Amino acid sequence: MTTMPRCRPSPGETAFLLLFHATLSGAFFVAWLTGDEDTYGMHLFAGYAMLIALCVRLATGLLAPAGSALRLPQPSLTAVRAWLRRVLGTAGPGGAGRSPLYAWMAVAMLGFAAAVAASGWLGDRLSSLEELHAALAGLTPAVIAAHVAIAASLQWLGRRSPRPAVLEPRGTLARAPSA
Amino acid sequence: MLTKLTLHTLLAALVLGAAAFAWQARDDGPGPALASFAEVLGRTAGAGEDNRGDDR
Repeated sequence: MTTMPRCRPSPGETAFLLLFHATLSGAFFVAWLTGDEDTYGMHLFAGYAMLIALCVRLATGLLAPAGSALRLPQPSLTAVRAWLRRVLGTAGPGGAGRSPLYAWMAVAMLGFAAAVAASGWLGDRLSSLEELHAALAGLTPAVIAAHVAIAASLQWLGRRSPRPAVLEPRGTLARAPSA
Repeated sequence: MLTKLTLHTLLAALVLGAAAFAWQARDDGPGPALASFAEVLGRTAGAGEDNRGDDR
């Protein structure tokens, strides 16, 4: 699977992606913290905020023009293999550049957040989904910890190896949050 | 970047948490809503005791 190179995000696109990340993660945190019958109203509110944020992000990703930083992340195994060769130093000088693992991580996190929020919403109507929602919610601390650890590692790797010279011209590769 | 994203997350959690609290307080009243929230916070912060999702 190949991906179309994404343009560097404009300040407006960067602000949108940061706002989306903040809204989703903030709502996720509130929903996790209030996952108790006594604070069910707060839990519902935060869950709906997550669902709305995900719907807005999905719509934006589908409507954004090709090459836009707002397109949905497109994970690619080919890009990962090429990046690994650069990281391991077998692809010549030039640095590893932005990791394509960000796209995989973004898809995984968006999928997980969507599964938790959707199972909660549907669990309100179908009691059989309540256990699935509780199980997914129980995984949340581990998933978030892994997400932060991977993001920190990739950031460290990106700092350690400069961007390849071929990616220097503007309009070739995104450097913003991948979500 | 990670620090920035973490700060944004905490700020959004504060804003959304306040809005969610107002939403619950509209039905339960501010006092009971605050008591419930404080109880849940205390339970979450309680060392070695995790009652989340416990229906008993």
